[in-house]
Amino acid sequence: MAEEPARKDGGGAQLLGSLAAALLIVAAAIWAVTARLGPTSIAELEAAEEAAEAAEEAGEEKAEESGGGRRRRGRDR
Amino acid sequence: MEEFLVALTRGNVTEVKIVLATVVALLAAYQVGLMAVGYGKLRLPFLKPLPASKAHRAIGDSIVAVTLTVAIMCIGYFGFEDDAALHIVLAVALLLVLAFKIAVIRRMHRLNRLLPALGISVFLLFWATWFSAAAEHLV
Repeated sequence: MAEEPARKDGGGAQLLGSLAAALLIVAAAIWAVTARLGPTSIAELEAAEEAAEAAEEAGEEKAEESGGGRRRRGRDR
Repeated sequence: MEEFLVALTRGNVTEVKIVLATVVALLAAYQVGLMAVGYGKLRLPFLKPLPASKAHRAIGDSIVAVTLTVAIMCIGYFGFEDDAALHIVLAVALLLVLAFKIAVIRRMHRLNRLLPALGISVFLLFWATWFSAAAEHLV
């Protein structure tokens, strides 16, 4: 019986306000954590993989130019 | 299962898990505040005990759903690895205490006096579980 006056006194609004506060907490947590974790890790991993591959290729090219250059010339003949 | 989770999160299983775990850990702290108002331990001019208790129940239902999602993601993707023993023990304890608390709320009403202790235990276990896994990526 004591519940009815509480509802009439704005209990519904207080309930909605409490739920809205929870939604704010959820939104703030998602924003803060994603900001801390940075961009999608997939993108980071792909970028790191590409950089590693590019470095590897550059290393191989250098090795070919220094030692394998003669081989290439030989093949051209 | 692993492939499904990777596809669902576009390869960000750990990141999604961290976000969801952080959300429920923060909501658990909010839940303690709501029940402090609900039990009359904390008096606020803008929030009465009844709406605080109702909000606690509604948010609690959501927390359980998200917690189960995180648990399924964790077990489905990582399994039970030896190096995560502490995390596994804490998470299992959390799920057991949470299940018992829900049973007390819905069926075992004669044990209602245990609810404050169970609620605080659930809150502590949420944070302990979070610290044992997600914290290393954020702190």
